[in-house]
Parts: sequence; structure tokens; C-alpha cells
Amino acid sequence: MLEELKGILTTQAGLPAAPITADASLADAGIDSMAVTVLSMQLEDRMGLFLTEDELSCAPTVSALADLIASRAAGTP
Amino acid sequence: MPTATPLPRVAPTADVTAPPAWNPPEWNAPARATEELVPLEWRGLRYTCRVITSDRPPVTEPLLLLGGALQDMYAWPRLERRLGAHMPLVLVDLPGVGTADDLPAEQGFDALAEAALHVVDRLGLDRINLLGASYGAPIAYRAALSRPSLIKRLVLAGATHRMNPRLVSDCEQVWRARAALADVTDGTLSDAGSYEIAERAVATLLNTTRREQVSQAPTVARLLHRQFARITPAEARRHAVCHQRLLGPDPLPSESIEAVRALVFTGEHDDVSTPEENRAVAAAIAGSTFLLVRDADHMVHLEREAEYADLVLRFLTDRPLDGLHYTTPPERTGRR
Repeated sequence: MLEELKGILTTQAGLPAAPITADASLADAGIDSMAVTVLSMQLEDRMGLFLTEDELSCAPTVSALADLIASRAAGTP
Repeated sequence: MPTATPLPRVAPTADVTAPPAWNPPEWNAPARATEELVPLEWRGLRYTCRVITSDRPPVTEPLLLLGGALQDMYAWPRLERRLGAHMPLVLVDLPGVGTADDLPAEQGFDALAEAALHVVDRLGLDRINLLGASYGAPIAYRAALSRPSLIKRLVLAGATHRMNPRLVSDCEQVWRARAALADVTDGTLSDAGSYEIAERAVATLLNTTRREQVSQAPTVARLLHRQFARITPAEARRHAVCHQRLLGPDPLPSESIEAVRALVFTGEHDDVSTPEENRAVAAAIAGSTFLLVRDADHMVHLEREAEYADLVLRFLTDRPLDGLHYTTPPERTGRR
């Protein structure tokens, strides 16, 4: 999921790839409100997942964000 | 009052003859940037600016950024990242915005321009680049009129001598409606109430008839909707006052600017400050350049953020603006 997340953030949200590392905080990875909005919309369009911007923004790291998406995709809350 | 850290001196500008290739400015890593919050006071009003400096030598003068009516000093994260490696950045919550004290409604754009110039004096800067976007444009214009020798380059984005009064009035009414709702619901709005307010606010700021032609239009609409749905009663009252100020006579004066290098631009589909209105502002600035960003509306900094940063950086480092794929050809509309 980390690579897929990185793909969305770089190709759809216009973020550079280098700062998006597993341990980076969302702020250090450049994941701002615009990127979170793009991500929320892309998850809905691509995967039928409904994760709000607030839920996504709460993740402390990029890795935690990927885990959140993966768990939601797997059907766990 | 604490003293702001002196900003580094400007190094010579790089090759100014380089052809205009499309390489958006790279992001400056947060570890390479330093942020200082500087408290300010002007006519008894307290406000704050952020000064972002990089560990790299600057290639142009510091940039003072004056944003729109609904933007505080944290509203430009991507521009910060893209420009931060090239010049010191100064972002400010002028009175009436963000963390600052309220600016009385009877105070106009001249007061805001004075407060903006006070930032420059307080930081001890002898020359700056100045960017005014949307509501910030009349403030920046007045600052440049007042102290032209201080302004090395002026960038106005989404500028108009007088915004469409009906549109401004619509905006003011939206925010007054939000504030009034708070009066009867103790500050708490139902989801339906906040949704409706946000819908109306977004509809006034975005050109919904050109949605298909505007880059990132659905994302920008959703982002703004979410932000507007969360606006507090106090913020709503401030926004109403801002729009009331725009209804006053000559927000952006008709007086010409003579001795400041200037760029005026907006999105080609902007109907808040139309291309014609922006062109008229450029025409009042001697020797200025005017152009439009393609596939963009009023929110160019969100719709085409990399291009926005590239355009501003090019202008602030005296590089050519000809042949850019994301803009119309530059027009030299200002008198010579």
C-alpha cells in the first residue's frame, strides 16, 4: 500500500517523491490539505473507500497512513 | 520587543539568459528551512509575521506575501516549499486575519498597506519583492504607490480596481448569514447549515461554468468547501468586514505606479477578478507585464501550484517569461 499511496501523492497530488518516506510525518512528507483532499477523492474513485480528510490527516506518519488505508480496504475499522 | 534576526544578503542572480524550460522549482526540505515568528504592533494592533529562511544563499530580495481575504499566514505551504530555497519569505497575518487583532471596519486598505510596510521596517529590510494575491493585491498596490523605492519587484495575482459589487455583496451576505446563524445556535451549526453556507461561498469564488477547463477544479472546490464549512462565527464576521471593505470606493486606486517592475496575472477562467480587470491594473503600472495562466481560475495557487511558483520565481529572478507552455504570451500593457 505504501507504494500505491506514494503513487497517488506524486502523480495526482503533485508532491515530490523524495520526502515521502515510511517514517516521515505527513508534514515532512509535504502532505498538506490539498494532498489529503486529492487522496480522499482518489481512494473513493479508485478503490471505493470512504476515508475523510480528517481521518487521513490523523495518521502520524506516512507508514501509518498506508496502514490505515490498507486496513480499511481489508474491511477492518 | 524582540529583534528579528537579520536576513542574509542577496547573492548575484544566476544566468538571466537561460531559455525558459519547464522545471518547476524543487521543494525545499523542511530541515533546510528556519522559521521565526516576529510579533508586531501598529497603532495599538498586535499581529505577527513568519519569516522563513533557508540555509542556502538567497538569489533575490526577500518576498513579502500578502494573501487573500480567507488566507492566513499558513495558507501557502507549497509556495513556501518551492520558493523557500531561493529567497527569504515573509508571511503575515495583517490586522483582521488569523491570529492578529481585529481591524476596525472603518479602516480601509491604506491602513492595511501601512501595516504591511511596518512589517518591512520592523524586519529592517531595505528592499523587498512584494506579492499581493486577490484581497492582498490592493494592499500591495497601495504599498508600492506609497514606498516605490522599497519595492524591487511587484507581483499582483487576481487583481482588479474594483471587484464586481454584486459578487462581493454575495460574499458579504454569506458570511453575515453564517455569523447570524451562530447568534441563534450558540456558535454550533448543523451539518446542513454549514454545508449550505460552504456551498454558497464556494459558488461565489469559483467559476463553475468553466469547471471542465480548470485544472484540479473538483479538488479545489472540495478543499474550499471543507474549509468554509468549518469557519467559526468570529471568522465569518471578519470575512464579512473584509468584503465590506472591498465595497468601498477604489479598493485599488486608479493612480499609476511608475518605477516598480511589476507582473500582473490571473487564471484565464477567473471570473472573480477577470482577465480584462487584471489587464487594466497592469496597464496602470509603467512597463509592467501581464499574462494569464492557462487552465486556471481565481485560485491559481491551488489549481496550478507548481506553475504559480515557477512563474513567480522566474519574475523575481529576472528570467524570461516568454514561451511558457502554461501561460498566454506576456503582454507589455503598462505605459512606458
